[in-house]
Amino acid sequence: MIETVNLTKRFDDILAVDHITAQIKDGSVFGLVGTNGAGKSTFLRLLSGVLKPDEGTVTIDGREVYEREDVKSEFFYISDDQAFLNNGTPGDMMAFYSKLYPGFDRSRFDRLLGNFGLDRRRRISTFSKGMKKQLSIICGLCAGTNYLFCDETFDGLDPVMRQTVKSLFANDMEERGMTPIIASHNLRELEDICDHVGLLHRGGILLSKDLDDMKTSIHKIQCVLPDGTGPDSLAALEIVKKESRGRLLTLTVRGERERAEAVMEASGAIFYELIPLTLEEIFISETEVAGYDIKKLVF
Amino acid sequence: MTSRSWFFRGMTEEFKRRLWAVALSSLAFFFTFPVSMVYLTTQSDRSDARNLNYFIDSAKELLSYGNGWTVTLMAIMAVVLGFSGFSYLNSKRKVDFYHSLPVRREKQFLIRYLCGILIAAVPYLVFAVISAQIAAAAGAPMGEIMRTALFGWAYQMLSFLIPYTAAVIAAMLTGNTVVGLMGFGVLNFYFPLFVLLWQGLAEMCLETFCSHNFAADWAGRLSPMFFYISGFDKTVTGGMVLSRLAAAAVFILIAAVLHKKRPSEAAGRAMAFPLSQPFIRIMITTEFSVSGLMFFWNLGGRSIGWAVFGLLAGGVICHCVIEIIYHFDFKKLFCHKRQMVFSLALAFGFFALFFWDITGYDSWLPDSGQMDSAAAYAENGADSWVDYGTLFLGKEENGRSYGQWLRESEEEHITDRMILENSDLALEFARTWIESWNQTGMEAVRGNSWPEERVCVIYRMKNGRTVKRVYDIPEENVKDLFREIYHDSGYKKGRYPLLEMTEDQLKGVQVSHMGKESLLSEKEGFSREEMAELLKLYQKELSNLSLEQSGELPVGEIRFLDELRLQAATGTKDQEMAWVYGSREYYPIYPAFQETIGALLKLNIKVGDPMDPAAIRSVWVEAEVETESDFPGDISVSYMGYEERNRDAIERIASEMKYSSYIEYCSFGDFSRDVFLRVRFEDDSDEAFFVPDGETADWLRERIKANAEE
Repeated sequence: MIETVNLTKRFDDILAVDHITAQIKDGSVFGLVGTNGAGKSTFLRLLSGVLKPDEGTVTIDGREVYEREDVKSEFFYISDDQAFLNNGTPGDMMAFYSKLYPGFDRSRFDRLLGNFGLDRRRRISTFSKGMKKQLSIICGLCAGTNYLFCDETFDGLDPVMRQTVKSLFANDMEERGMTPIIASHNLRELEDICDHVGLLHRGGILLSKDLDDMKTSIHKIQCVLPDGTGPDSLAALEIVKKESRGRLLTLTVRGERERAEAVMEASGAIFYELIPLTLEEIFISETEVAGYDIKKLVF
Repeated sequence: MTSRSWFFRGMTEEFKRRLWAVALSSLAFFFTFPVSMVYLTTQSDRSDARNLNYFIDSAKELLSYGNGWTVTLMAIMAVVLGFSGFSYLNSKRKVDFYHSLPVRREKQFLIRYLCGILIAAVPYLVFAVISAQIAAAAGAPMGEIMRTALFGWAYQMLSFLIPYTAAVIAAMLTGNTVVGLMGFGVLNFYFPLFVLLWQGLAEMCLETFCSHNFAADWAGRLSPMFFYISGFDKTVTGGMVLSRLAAAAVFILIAAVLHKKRPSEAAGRAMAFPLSQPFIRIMITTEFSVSGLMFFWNLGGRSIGWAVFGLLAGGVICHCVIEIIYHFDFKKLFCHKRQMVFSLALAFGFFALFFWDITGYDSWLPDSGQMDSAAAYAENGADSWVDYGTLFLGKEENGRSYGQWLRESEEEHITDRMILENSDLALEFARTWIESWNQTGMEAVRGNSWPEERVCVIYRMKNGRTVKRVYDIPEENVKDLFREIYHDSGYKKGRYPLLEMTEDQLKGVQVSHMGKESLLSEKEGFSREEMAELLKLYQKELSNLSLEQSGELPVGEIRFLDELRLQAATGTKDQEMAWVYGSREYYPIYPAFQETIGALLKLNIKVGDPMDPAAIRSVWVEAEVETESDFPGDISVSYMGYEERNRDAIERIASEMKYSSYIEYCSFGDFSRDVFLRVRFEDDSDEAFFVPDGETADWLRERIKANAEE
């Protein structure tokens, strides 16, 4: 299990990661979502031991990560702009990584290279952005590590390739219990792969929950209330957001589905419907509460 | 990975990564050694022993550590390899890549650091050995040439560690290659410039500062590149090897610590360690402020207004440039204003330290209880004619001997040897000067007299420290102040190396009278006793000489020769050696040296007699003469001359003329050389003489005028 306690990182005057305490359980896909500049990449760089925390700790199974070879050999970090060996070929990368990661699977590497249509002897510098991404994912998967840290990994991959990668991740999770930690702002991509989501905003963590829990604890209600009845009659609901169009009221509320339904029933609503929120909607409403309001940005 | 495997695997990968550097290094050394050696063999004639020896010398020169091109090449490689090895630290992508790998940073440092050294060392060694074998095949002795090559390589590699590690340190301290190169410049030039400014200010502001070599002495110790270069122009000693080992060890330690502590987020920034920024900013701004101040202060005739302008111009511009570089943003040029003001204040304080002599440097006098001994000498006024040095007879590989005069500086010799019997004399001398200076200032001390004399005083303290001060004194006063010091026997022992000569060293005596030399040696029929007696008498009279007597024009010159000097003087070993020795180490025979003159007379050598007019063919007479100008009533002065062939006139001139070269022996002497003579002798040689002011001089001026009118 990866655990961060009070993890803090500053770059001069900027507080990039602000006292984050989080746990990433083994065997699940952890999605790291957040606003631009929220600190997702910094958080991943701290997890991978590239950066040294200013405060707090990062541990994997209770062992500090920074400058620990034994701990670092348990994960593979794919950065948003992965570097490769100068003038290297995929074959060179395989040789390089296989010296560093004892569990590196060379035959799988060759197989995946073939499946992805990448030439083993072609210089990586001639690859397109997407091909480089594919290669870095192949390297990460074949390294055989328990954890795979991916920073905006799906960026630059075509839809087919994204699905392929997701399948590969699922396969590795099932076969050898790999735990991917994926940072992205593409919430639709994460939605169908993540088990657990950590939402970062301005260096801090707004929430960290199982995606299912998150979806069942926040709902969108569309309703039409009787004449003379206003939203005040729904005070029992924890309303996060409220919008009205004519008589149609759209509410985003926190709490159990059953409880929300009970309140709506009690309010005598002419019509009401509970709609599950997408991850993107959850993200928008949560960050809006934290002051990241689209209206403020636009107007 | 096992320790062995991570190292070799890491090295293999690093070599692959830096294949371009391996290729460049190999190419450079291929042309430097084997190609040059083959060229040397094709261009040299090795048919006889002399030419073969010449070839061997050239081959050894090529492979030795002193080869200037190799020094330059290694210096360039140190910078290239130092920066390229750690350039990944300047790229965020690469830092993420390398620092996320399960390899500790110490290992990464070790691999990259050693790889850089090996890229230089291996091609150098391989091609130097091949070159040595080529030279051996062409007739050079294998053992000797290989020894030269291997020693050259080992010493070069040891020295290489210093600039190479300095480049690595510069790369560690910065997050951008261009800024890193600037940082390397700062590491190499900051402290030499600092001591240069120190010396410049001291020389301009302090009256008694006299360490002329202060900056030059320290520059080599305060700059990695200067330190590297300074080790190749002399014979390598154990101390030099040790100092290089120690410096390299310290540098490597600093580089390793910096690599470990360097934050990964430094990639792409100007400075890797934010903590270092204010220190470096203040240090550089202060130095540039002082430089600007000194430049404009001198340019503006040493006015405080210009000094302040220079201070502000140098400091503010420098600060702004540093800010722009630190932030990579032109708009940030006035960031950290307080630090700028602090730097300017610091620079002005530094200047004030010298300008107002806040430390009391000029008025400092040692406590006589703390002083062990003292020395004093006039830099130009008295005894500046003494030659210090050693005659060295070297032997070339081909067996040919060669002479060399290894000069010792006056300051060095006197600092090492002169111990005044009464060191209070030096103190008293300095005290008199300081009191006068304190009361009346330098202008008054100087008076209207020109030129001044510089008297250097050396204080040796009981704690081992040596302090030097120089006191500028008007020529008219220096004689009075210096008299007692001159009479101190310690002064003469330290000033005249001849007083240390013993009879058993003496093999010959050479006397010169108006350029005509006579040699006394056993070969010439003079006994050792006669020569020893002469030495004893001269040493006695020189020891007893008073300052007044030393101001008189000598009647001749004498030098006492040991075995080697006798060979040099007679040219028996080598004509070139005779030329090298020339007229060095002659001592004056003052009129006061009556016993020496008497002893020489007994040996049939006359000094002091006027020149025989019969030996003179003609005399070129030259002097400044006053003539009436074209404007009535106006007198113009012009330098005119004529050739005197009249025998009567030549006789009169010969009886009065003085040998020009002897003037240098007159301590604080005041001889007017207004009438200059170039005397041509019958044997077609010529010498310079002069006629002192007096009747004959006036008569000669009239003759010049008369000749001009004709």
